[in-house]
Amino acid sequence: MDNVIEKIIEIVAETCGVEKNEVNGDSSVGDFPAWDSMGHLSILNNVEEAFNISFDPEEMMELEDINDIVKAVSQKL
Amino acid sequence: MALVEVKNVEIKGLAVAVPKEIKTVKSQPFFNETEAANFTTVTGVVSSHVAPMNLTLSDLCQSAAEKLIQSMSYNREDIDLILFVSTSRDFYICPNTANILQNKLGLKTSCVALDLPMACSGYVYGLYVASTLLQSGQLKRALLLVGEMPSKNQSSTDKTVWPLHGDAGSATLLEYSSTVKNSMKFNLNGDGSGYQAIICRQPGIRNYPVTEDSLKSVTIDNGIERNALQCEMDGSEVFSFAIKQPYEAITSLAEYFKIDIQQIDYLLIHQANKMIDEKIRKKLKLQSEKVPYSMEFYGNTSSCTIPLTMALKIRENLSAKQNSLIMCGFGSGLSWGAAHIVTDKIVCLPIIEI
Repeated sequence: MDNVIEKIIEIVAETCGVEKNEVNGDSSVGDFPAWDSMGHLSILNNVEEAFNISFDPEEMMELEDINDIVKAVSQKL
Repeated sequence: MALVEVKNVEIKGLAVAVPKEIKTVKSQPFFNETEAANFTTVTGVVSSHVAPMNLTLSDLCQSAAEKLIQSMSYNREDIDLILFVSTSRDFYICPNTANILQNKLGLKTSCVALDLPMACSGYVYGLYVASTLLQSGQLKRALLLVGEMPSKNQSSTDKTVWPLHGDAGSATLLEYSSTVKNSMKFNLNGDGSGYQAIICRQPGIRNYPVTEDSLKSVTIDNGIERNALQCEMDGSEVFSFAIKQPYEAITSLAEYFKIDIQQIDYLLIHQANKMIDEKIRKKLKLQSEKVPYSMEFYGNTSSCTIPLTMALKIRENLSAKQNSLIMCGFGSGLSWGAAHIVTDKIVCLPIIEI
């Protein structure tokens, strides 16, 4: 679980162009300029590739913050 | 949903025209290198074509139509219907652009000329309207002109729309024949409660008149500046619409008309965003070879994405053999539709650059 959180924080930081220490489990859409709707899709795409999983389209709408993404990824591993 | 079958009409030919000039995602000033790369990863768009100031969408459609009529040796007197499907009309209120094109193309004055101001769902709706008007056999041949020129009504400083879209126009010839074997099948839908998801607030009667304030560029957010005449898109609302409705339109079309989706040759889906389109493809369990994409170097060309993908990616197959196609368009309105069309050795020209 800790590895999943760590990896997702790394993906969000890299995708949004911010430092890892600026990101935590409660970070969500809109917290960084690059985390807009397009940035959100980019994050989810990178998470899918990193964990070799696939989110259902409807499921993607429910994933609003890092804790949501971590929970969804953990259920698929 | 409106599930409709149209008999005795078939597509005979297709041509697409784009402007020569190209804009690239990575050269947009509102993106840094990472943002540009993220944008391309999600949307699939690397570059698109953009028209110079003096070129209109009707000019692109006219060029496509001229080439198509010439290559098919059509007699212009035999064209009974011209349908122009676009929001990029020459004049927003009047007259109809179809009337202007009827004259420019040298079509007879008894040719029925209509505008249908629809955006991304426009090719499916255009095929439906044109084929429906032909199916009685009283009108025999239709010229369907479909496309969009978003560069004219989008802000080049709006990162939500400018890098995604491209300009393109198409011409499709349809004919009535009592011997056509396969019907065209449609599933058409709309939900005006989402009308603000993709909208140009001016010009138009609702927010009349256009004033000096209409032209003032306003900063909406980081990387989003536009004026009231320029199109705006609510990305989140469009996303939630796009991941749900197109898939349902395709599956309910297939279910109602008993079409085995796995047996079709191609799914031609509106090139809105590659990530969304890929989600739909995988959910339909279709092989990637059956779902061609054109957005990489043409972007989202609104109603023209379906004919453009046909001309770019499956032109040889369309000309050589019969093809079972499902098309799906979705966008502003909100409006969406799917169609099952069987083509048989149609004329499909290489993309024309002007």
